[in-house]
Amino acid sequence: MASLLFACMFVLTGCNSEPASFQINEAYIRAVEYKADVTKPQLISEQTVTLSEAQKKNVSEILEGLFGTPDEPRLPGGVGLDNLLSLRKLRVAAGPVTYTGEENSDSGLESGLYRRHCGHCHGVSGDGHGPTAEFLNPYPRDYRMGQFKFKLTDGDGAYKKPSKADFRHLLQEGIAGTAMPSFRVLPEPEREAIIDYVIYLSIRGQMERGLIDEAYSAASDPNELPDNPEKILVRFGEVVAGDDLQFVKGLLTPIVLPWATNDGTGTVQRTIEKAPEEWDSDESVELGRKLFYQSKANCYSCHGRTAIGDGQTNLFDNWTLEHLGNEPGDASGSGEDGVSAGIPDYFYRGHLAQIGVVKPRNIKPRNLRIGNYRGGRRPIDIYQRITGGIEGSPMPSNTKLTKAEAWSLVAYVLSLPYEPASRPKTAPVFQGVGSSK
Amino acid sequence: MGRFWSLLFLLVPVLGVAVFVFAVVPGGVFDNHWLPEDISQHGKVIDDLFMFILYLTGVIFIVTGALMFWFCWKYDAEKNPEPVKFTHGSHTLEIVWSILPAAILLFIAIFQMDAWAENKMVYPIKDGKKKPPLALVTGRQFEWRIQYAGPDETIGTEDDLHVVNDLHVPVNDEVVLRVQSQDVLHSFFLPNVRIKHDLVPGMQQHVWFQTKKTGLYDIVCAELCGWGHYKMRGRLIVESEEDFEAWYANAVQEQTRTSHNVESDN
Repeated sequence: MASLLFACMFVLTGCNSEPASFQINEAYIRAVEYKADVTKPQLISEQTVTLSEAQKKNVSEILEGLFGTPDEPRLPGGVGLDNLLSLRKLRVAAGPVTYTGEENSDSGLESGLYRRHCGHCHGVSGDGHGPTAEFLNPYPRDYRMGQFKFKLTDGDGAYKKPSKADFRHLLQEGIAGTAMPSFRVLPEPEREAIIDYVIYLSIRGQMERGLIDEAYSAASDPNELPDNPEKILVRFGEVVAGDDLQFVKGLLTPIVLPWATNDGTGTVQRTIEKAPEEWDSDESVELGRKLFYQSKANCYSCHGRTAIGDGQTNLFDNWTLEHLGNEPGDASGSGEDGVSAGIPDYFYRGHLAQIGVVKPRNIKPRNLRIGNYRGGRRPIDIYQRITGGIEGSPMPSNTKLTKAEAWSLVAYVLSLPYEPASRPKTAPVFQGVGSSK
Repeated sequence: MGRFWSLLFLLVPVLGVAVFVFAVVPGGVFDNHWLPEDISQHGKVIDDLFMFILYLTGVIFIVTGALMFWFCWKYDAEKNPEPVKFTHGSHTLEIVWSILPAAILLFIAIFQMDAWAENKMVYPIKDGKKKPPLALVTGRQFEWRIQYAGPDETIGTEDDLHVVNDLHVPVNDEVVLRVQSQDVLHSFFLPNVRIKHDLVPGMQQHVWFQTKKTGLYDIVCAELCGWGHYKMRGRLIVESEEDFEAWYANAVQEQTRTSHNVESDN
């Protein structure tokens, strides 16, 4: 009877949870505080200055003034975001998950799209630390660094922000070989709303990092006036909107500019000229094979002599590098698998997991023989990976190759899964490099 | 009070039957809860088998439900002050209710054999040889990766077409698919084609079907495969031979794109 009563009470009161809120980027704060030298994690300095709770609160307040909350997003004005993002779309993507049939009054679409489809991996704050994140390999993307891997905007050795067309393509195709599925069965307007929201989260995350940097430099400035004990960046009054403050605008504008570019509508994909006629001929594949092992392209140093991705296995991507060695306890250097030795698993499960740091894993170069291409298998995708690089990963953009050479490499890479060595009927015999043919 | 309980038990057969009646009759709250539209040529066999077993079990369900109500009603303690007498049971009755269900089960097992064989064992033959699969469908957490065999009709060669979640098939054609799982147990389910096949990691299996109507239908995963199971939705696009060829050519062209120009491409 008691349990029945309890059940009735539960039905009557419902589960009124707190409204969702953005979590402050504690992981980045820690990285800043410990000044980890990402190249030499064993040489980190001791923690000197920490941010006070009041300062963290201040950063959150400024962000809320600019970007609103996960239920009520805002778009800061006067920084050139108006043409890039639409508040109407953000409202469709934001908010709690609604049930089928409940429609957003503005758009006629269901709202809560982000939390329904994306949040459980990428997190409400876009930190890549949702409830399912730690079970995935690779981990879901943390948008807050503003770096994205698979896009057709990069070129001439420079990384650019992804265009909306890049996001569209990615949501259509998914990322093969990762837990990111294809979302092509979602209606197009829903996908468009999600794209705007991801860009919004990314810009918000970059701004958060900027504010943390500012707060930290204010906190560690010895000339700071003694009557400002909390070293607050800006007082955030009820009258002042976030975008009225010159200081905030000054920080936000350079963050928005690469996203929106000068005309405010966002980056565009680069143009890739048509490949030469004979780009996939046998001779071209043969040239690609030679280039693969030459220093000009230098593919083999990471992807390995047999292209199975075993050339090096101890590098990290940018998202992991930031969190390596930012605890005094893990100054013991790298272990056998490249991960800092001496950090027990429970450390990552307990302490660091709470601030959004997952156990670091090496970034493995792709095995080119299994025919699984995360950024897409079209020749232009492979061409883009070779010439544009993959932002955030050790895969560099190659500007030394001529166009014809780059296309030869594309042809060679695309031929690798179909080489006899890739699908052996009997045990393969690998020749030493240079000794064959 | 005693007879209240017998009436309550009467609700079981009454509501049980009502649910089915409401589901079948179009309109109302339970509209669209009966079998999905059947667009396959063999699906009728499956549906008929389903209906046959439903009728058979339905009759038994109603009879047992009614009997149980009747016993509850008749032997209600308040109306029957005389205490029950112990009986050692009836040997004949026990034999009857053991043999009868066994016979029914055996009958169903034999009765459905053709349907099973046709759907799972009689592999389609083309020109005296096993018909090569049109495509390989790989279930993985949480999507369907589809690899068309291409002109050489061999899966795993350079002319394969790779798509995700969208399975295009020509209408009226006998389609053979190779199905496999990349990671955990999945189940490849085409509700409108009455095809459901469990995918066991490490096993390569085949399904075949023939459609009779063009349109857009569901591909779903029918085996709980992890936290994203609900995301594993794809689309079965049944189209005319010409539309299929046109789509195929277009998809191949996209997959082999060697130039990119935002202005002219979009």
